[in-house]
Amino acid sequence: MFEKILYQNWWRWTTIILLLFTCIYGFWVKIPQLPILEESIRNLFFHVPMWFSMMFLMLLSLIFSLVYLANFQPKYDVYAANFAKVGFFMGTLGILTGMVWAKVTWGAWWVFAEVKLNAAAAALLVYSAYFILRSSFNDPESKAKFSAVYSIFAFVMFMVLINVIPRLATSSLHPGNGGNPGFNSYDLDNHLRLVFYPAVFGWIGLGFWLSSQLIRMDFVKRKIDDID
Amino acid sequence: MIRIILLSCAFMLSIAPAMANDNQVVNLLLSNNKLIAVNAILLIILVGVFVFLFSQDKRIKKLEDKVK
Repeated sequence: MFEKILYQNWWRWTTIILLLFTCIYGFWVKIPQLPILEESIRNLFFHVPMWFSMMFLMLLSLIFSLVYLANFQPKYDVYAANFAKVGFFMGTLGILTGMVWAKVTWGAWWVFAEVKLNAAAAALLVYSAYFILRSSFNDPESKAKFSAVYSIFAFVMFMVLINVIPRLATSSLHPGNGGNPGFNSYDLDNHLRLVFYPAVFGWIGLGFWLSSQLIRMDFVKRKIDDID
Repeated sequence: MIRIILLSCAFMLSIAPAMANDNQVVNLLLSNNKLIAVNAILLIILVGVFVFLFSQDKRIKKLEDKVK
């Protein structure tokens, strides 16, 4: 059933419409006039949805890792690995857009005292280890088994680093962390919501699109290897 | 396919100014065409990405048919 979704076009067109909407209206929509943030708040349509996209793809990676461990079918390992790859890519884009935003609002590309930035970097490192682990095995079965188990640990660590530790910190520059009010409570007005929610689904769709291509390429490679 | 994407862009751009009401910065950028230039470059990149992704889809489909 999941394989069928990879070949359907409705979500591709939905992604295109949502991202066009985001990239056009994101620059035109009326925003709340907030000190320091000012026009940079438009980065909310890029930076935050990219992280949501990463979370969604990593969640899919975790689900397919669990499914693989339940029945040891290699195709689920292919799904898990490729969703993690694109999730990592979206996370990197999230960090880069965050750095640009930090430079504009906080005056530095990277604030070393900021818990969430460091936690985000650590979360990406946890997933880097996943790819290193995968590349260290020659036997495909061991590679799939070990990386599926590690994937569970990686996802738990990822959620702890991104969502738990920053909230426990006593001070943070990020909204919604270290006692700061979140965007929801005072900044995210209805004009922003009109673009923000489509942006979330649009970036998730783009991540899914990239993953679907990697997965299909992986299946083609495997078939060619079998033929040889 | 490119036609549909470009038509969607044109449609959204045509009604975009309605979203900018009362926004002084947007109006200022609009008055010297800077906003249009930023939007145009962003859309060129985005449309390029979509066209590339669709062409990749086609190539993969061809490969899949060959392997079958």
